[in-house]
Amino acid sequence: MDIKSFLKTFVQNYFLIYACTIIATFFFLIAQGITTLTTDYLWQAALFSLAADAPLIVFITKKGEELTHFVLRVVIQLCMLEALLMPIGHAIGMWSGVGGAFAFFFTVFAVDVVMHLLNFIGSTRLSAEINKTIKARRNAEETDGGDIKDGGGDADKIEVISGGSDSEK
Amino acid sequence: MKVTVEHIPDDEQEEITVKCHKGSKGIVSLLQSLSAVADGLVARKNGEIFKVKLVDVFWFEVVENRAFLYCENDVYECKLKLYEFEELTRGMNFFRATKSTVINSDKIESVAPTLSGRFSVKFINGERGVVSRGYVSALKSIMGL
Repeated sequence: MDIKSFLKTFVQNYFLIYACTIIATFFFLIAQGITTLTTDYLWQAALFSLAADAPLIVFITKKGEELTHFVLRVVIQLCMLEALLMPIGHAIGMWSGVGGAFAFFFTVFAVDVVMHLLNFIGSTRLSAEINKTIKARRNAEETDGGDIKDGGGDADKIEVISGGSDSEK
Repeated sequence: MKVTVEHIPDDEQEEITVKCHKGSKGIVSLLQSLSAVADGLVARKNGEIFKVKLVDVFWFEVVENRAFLYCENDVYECKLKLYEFEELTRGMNFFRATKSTVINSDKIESVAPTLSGRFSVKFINGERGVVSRGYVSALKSIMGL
């Protein structure tokens, strides 16, 4: 993605991650029977969300994205995500001990994989809608007597105007 | 702006008369588009000059500062810049698909998502193209979604 798309996605994701972090904390607190939380946690969650969003930077590219490059970026993003979130999560009390570290590590991993899957499912649905629209358009053209291949035969459609230079344009 | 359409018999030649203020940029742009639609774009292939109708163009692409018109079976080089082609095709079924390509949505057979978030496009002549993540909204818009 280019920088413009990155900034747009970054801001959208930031608020999404922040909201999900707060909601997840809320349910975690209920499950643990904890009824109070310091207001500092709101800032800590904001910092955590920023750290979770930051690795998106690896997707900035001016060139087109080959699948292999994309997979490499996904791996780098996941490594950055774990490297940033593990210490921050520990500092704000999201995990402690070896068991907690493993649980936190795999939760971050699972959430990242699920997010990529959800994106792909969303794209699949959108492409199905687009293909449906294309099919409907084509059917409408056929019903109207239009030829969907119209305009296809280049040689018949192009008129030679001269063999001169570009200046004639 | 007042728009008047007068239906004429089939045997009469179609004609467009424009009444406008001097230097009206909108009208100039409109006339360029009309001219491109009616007469076609001037393009080159193997040293010869052709006129290529916009409806025959599958996609327009800029590669290393050279612009190409891809039709069903042939590729033509033209002198247009990407933004100029976009201007000419405004209001038609063309949309920006990547930083360097503009696609004719009428020539798309199907689209499919890729893992990288882009869409792979299959044209009715079997060729393939891509729509970058950043331009998926343009594809949705042109499809009326």
